[in-house]
Amino acid sequence: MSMRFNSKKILVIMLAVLLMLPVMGAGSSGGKVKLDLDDYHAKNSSTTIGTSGTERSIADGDITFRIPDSMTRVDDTEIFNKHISDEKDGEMYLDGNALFGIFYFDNDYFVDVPEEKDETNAIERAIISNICPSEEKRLKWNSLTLRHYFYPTSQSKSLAGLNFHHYVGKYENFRVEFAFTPTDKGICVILFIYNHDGTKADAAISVMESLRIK
Amino acid sequence: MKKSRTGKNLIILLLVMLPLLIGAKFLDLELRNVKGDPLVDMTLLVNGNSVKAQPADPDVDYEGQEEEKPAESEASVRIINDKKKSVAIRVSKDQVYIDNQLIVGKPFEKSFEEIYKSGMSVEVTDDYGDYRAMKKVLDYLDEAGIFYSKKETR
Repeated sequence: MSMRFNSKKILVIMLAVLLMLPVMGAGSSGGKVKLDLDDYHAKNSSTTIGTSGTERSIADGDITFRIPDSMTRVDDTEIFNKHISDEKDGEMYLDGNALFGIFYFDNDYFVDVPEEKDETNAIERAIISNICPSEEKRLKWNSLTLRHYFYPTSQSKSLAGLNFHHYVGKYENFRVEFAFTPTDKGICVILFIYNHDGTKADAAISVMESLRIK
Repeated sequence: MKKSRTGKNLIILLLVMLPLLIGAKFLDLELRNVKGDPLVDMTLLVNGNSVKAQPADPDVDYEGQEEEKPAESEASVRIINDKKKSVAIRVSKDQVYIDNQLIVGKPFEKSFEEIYKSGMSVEVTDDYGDYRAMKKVLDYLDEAGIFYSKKETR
């Protein structure tokens, strides 16, 4: 009788631990998400997003957005991967003390195995690890027999209805925020890089709100 | 008997559900065409002039620095330098001037370090300066993490 009671107890504990595992993986290591649009909408319900700026496009016009006048273009020829530079698929801007980057990740060109082109979460994890190599160990957890890959992401939605995945990583002393939104054959990746908690993300948020995908 | 069957079922259910419960398992996906050429080269961003040019270090109390007492020194030049609030660098052709004094016989870095003190403002004037001379000055200031304003005489 007491034996049965113990096994039941163990079962309950095991179940609780197993249920907790994915939760333990969640919770970003790098800090809070400044680009969280839902959070921004909640805090600035009366604020309207600025409509002035320069209309820009990447990925043959499939991705369009508006850059506010406060942002300055950075010479990004050497900064982006050669393919992204050659195809004019990426742009980098200085926004006060922070950097704002946007680029188109072409699944056909960058994903090694064709069958994996639909594995959005895994692709996003690979993009994060590629840009911030130290994040790789944070996204990986080894059990005795299996390697597990966590992706502690959060979601938000722009006023235009685009869904974003967010991840906050680190590169040296800089916080690197990622925001991903899917396109037809790839992913639109947004980067926000800064090293000061007081950094304002209003201009970056404004670009994300203006983003349109064909 | 019924209870033990429930336990057994629970264990089977658990084993079946195991991969789902550890739901955050994704495959280890490889990217191609990124070897030696990352999607975004962070080393260039951090070491280049983009972010590093305007670092905002929350740990540094800039206000406190102005109240610092100047170091005592017997050399009159040193005392004058200690009271100074700014340093002017002018690059004219391939010649570099610090506070209108032409630098001759010693490297620019050494002459500058003798005059510059933490908290001083630095202004660099490009007076038809030679590209290499200008680059040397700006690279030095960037590397030392010294803020400066820049103007051109043309």
